[in-house]
Amino acid sequence: MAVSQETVEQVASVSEKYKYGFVSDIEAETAPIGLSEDIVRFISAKKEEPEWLLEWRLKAYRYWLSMEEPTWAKVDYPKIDYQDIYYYSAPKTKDKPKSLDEVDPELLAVYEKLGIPLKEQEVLAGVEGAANVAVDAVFDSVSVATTFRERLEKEGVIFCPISEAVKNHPELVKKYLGSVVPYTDNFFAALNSAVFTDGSFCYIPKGVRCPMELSTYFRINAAQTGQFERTLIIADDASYVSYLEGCTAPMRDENQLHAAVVELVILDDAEIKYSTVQNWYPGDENGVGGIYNFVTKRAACRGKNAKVSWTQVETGSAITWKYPSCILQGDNSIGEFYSIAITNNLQQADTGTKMIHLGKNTSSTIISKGISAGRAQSTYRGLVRMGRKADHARNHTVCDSLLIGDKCGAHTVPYIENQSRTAKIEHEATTSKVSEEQLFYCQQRGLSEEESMALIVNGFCKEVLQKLPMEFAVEAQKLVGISLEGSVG
Amino acid sequence: MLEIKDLRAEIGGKEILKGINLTINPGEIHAVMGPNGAGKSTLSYVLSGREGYEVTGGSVTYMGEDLLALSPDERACHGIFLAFQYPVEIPGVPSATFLKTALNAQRKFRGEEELDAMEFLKLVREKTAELGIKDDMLKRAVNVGFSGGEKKRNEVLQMALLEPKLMLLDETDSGLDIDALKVAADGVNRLRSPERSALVITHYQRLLDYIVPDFVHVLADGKIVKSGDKSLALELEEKGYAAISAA
Amino acid sequence: MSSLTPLAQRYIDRFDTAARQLPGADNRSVSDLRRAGLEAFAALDFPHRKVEEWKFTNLTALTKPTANEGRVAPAPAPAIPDQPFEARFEMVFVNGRFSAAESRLDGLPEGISVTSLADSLGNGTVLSFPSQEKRAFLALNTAFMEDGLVLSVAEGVVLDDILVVTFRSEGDQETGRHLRNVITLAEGSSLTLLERHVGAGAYFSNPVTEVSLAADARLDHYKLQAESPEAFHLAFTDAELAERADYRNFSLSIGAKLSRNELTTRILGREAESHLNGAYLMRGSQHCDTTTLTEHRVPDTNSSQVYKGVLDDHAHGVFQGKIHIFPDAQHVAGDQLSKALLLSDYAAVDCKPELEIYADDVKCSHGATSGELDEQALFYLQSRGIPLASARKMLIEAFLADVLETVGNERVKVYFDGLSRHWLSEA
Repeated sequence: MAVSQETVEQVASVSEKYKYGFVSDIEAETAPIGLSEDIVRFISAKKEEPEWLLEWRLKAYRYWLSMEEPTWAKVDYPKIDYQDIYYYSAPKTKDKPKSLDEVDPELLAVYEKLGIPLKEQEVLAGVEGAANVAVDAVFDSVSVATTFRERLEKEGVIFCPISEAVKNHPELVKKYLGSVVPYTDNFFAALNSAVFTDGSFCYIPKGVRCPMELSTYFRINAAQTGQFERTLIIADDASYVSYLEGCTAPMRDENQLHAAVVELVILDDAEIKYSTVQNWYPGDENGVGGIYNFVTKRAACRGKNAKVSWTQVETGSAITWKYPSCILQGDNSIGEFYSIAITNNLQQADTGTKMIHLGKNTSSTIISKGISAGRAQSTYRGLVRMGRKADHARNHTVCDSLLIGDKCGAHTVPYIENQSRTAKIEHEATTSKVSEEQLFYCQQRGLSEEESMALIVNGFCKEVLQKLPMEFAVEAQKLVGISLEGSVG
Repeated sequence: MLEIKDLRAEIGGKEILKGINLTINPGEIHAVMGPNGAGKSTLSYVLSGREGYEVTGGSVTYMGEDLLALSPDERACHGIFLAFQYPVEIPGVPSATFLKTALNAQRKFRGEEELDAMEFLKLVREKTAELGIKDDMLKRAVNVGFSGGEKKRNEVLQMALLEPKLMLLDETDSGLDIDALKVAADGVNRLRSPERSALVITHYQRLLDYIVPDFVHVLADGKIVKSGDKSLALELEEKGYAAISAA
Repeated sequence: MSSLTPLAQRYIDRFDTAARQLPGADNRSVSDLRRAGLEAFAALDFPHRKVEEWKFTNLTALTKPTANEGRVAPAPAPAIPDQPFEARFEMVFVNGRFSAAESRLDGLPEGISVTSLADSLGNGTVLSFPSQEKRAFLALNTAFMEDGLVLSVAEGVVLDDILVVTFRSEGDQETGRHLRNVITLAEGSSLTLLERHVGAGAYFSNPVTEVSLAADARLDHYKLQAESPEAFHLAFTDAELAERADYRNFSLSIGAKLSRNELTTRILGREAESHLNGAYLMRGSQHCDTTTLTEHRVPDTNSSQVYKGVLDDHAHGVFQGKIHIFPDAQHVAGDQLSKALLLSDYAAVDCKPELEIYADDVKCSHGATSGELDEQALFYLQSRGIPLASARKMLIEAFLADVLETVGNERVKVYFDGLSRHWLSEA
């Protein structure tokens, strides 16, 4: 195995356990605790939403009331009391800031501490090392800042908080919101539809290659608060965008709920590359606290030759329930899913993807790497479905699990449904442990056991790490190391 | 024997052959040379009837019959043999079973008695001995786990056994070392006779040192741009395709 | 509580009358057992597709038949009658009951005891039963079991031949055949068993087979499912393996309108191994489900599985296989492979190969593929003069070749090869 010195240093440089676990003292405006039609109306009013959206939220809320929380995932947690959660919490501001200069400096400080670039001027002034990324920063329930909007507007790219898009681009929001993930889709999607507070909206017009990476950074700060964001990205004909998503939360000994919905719409010849580094607070080594991450992400390749690529590095959260999916409707459309899910201590992850092939010559690739350590349970759950009309559709799935220690579990639950004679599906999965030989080899060359493990695991994940944009790849490699702390010895 | 007139063919809507004219008489060996992407392999597949290659114009007459109206196996039974550039691996089908089935299908077509296992084995052993091919290959599944050279030898063995009238050799030299190349060429030369013809498709001249053609054609962008005798191949080697095609 | 399916309700309604006539009616422990089975069944009903384990197999044709059933022409009769199998030892059950007249059991070596379950129930032999929690068909079988094979092989005894058990049934959908087989191999013993299911009509066959292998025992367990093309076949086999026991199961499925072959292997002893293989060949509107669960409960154990399916016309194949490795069951190797070949635009296959692993020092893998015949290979064969139909047949045979190769007994292999070829020749 090739061991780069750089990786060694990165792994070694990380000493804190969860460095994003701080709480910021920012005055917040909060809705009364609990959930009711009044709360839904409150949120809608706060956002000054049009009537149609309120109606939609209410329908979703009523539908949600008729649903039961799903139990099929291999995750175990005490029953969530949905009346014991704050559904709205926003930093107090007098007026909405018009530019970054007007954003509360304390908030900016939070993001600086998190290492998120919210300063356009640095990039504009050519400060070395400043990333060329436009960021939408979502703090608890609201978006607090979005950078580079003007630069993007020049290209016709719309990138703004979804609450603003509702006001400024109602035709687009109305047309696409809920079109990929209807509120009837599942329990958490219904809940999100009723109470979503903010999130990012992005529209790439025909023929435009988005000039910079777009990114949303989610931060949960307030206690006992759920975060319900909603992201909608539309790639019009022959456009391209790479989108990044990051998330962190303070260390608290309570569990907090995060139930997001992400909808991607990809039209003819367009492509969306969507990358996530999910690092919500995972709870402590005894399983106290941590985020419950119940997320519905789905991409609809509506046009011919459309392409979507999901890359995720899931290291955080006490519970992860997440299946970024692709509906391959347009002929020749392509879906990809690259995933690393690391669970340590008492974390539980049930994650995977769905590839629904409807169009001709559609193809999909799934590469999933699951790592379990401590007493964690990690499950890959995936669906590959070839519809009757998916002539010559192709899928290739590789699903590998690695176990570190004898108290954890690794599970693989693929569903493979083929109704197309000419479709070809190949699925392979393996489960194994880190070989003693590899560990010994690294240690013999002077690495500590923990460093060796981080290296080997990085190697195991390499195929997926390579799919991440540069800025994220380095961060993700470090995370792999940190997440496994305490897993050996 | 074979008369190709203004043959046009496409794959997935893309025109590859753009009007090929070529006549092969009994006993003649023709070489078709050309750069990558000129349509060489397409020509061999169209002649042997592979699915997915759509003929959009022109005609191919083989021994007085409309070749294009026949299925691939009927063409084979009429004596057309394609030596594949990349012989296909077929797991689970033993080479011996495969050869026997093919031989008997062709014999049956010609109204000849089918061979039983003993007769078949005797015939194969003769052929393998003649060609210097180890017959343990017969026990293995068709081409599975064969090296590049072994696969090509297997093609030659099949050719020797099936005794075709028209041999199509699709880049038989690709990926072969000189010894394997000689075995392959030897196999073809053994079959040379006044009734039997061959179309040798190749990128390089070197195969033609061993299988000496009567005619050489240059295929570029779906058309035969130049024809000549053996010396054309040497000229190509010297000057390159670009110069010849442009001329 | 929601209402039961009509068929379940009818079973419950007729239980009291039926139980009085079933074997062991006078025996208190047997009637208690039946009652418990009925109660478990009543609580479960026949499973519907929302039950995860039955997601891919729809039982409404059995439980709620409608006039619409049989829209697609039924599959042609299976090949069984043309393919005799010469057996020295054969136990025959006709319509759910042991037929002494048709059976040949004389000359079995000493130490091999073969009796009928009806007799055992009658004389009160106490039986152990696998847990029926969550298994409706097992519970129903317990309530209504009428006969079956009770086989025990004494320590160190080896049968140098094949014991054939043939179940032949006739009847309509209301005709349930709830056979219960109990197979016990003592230490170091070894046996080859061929189980055959054949018949005529739309009957419902619900066989349960319990296999218990003591240390160092080996069972080569072959099964031919060639039921009537209108019939329902829902079979459950549970095998438990002690130290160094070796269980080999091969199922060839060609019959029934709707079938499920469910196998649970519980590996309880170190160095024991389980090898489950099979082939299913389906056409018409046949549905064939193979569901396996292999539990590695102790360290140093091995398992493997290879299932191959050929699906033509509107046939539907299902493979669900789970390898479950318990905590501390280290040094386990478990492999699983499922391959399906779709020959028609209307055939379909669903597959769920599952790994559930709680020990780290293991090597497990599974693979699943599905698709049509290799177009390149077809062309290659055709280009050598082989007609399309023969070329297809050759490739299908080749597809099945390696799994049929796992049939260790030469005579059974020849028999199964012949049956598969016959199936292919009917296309």
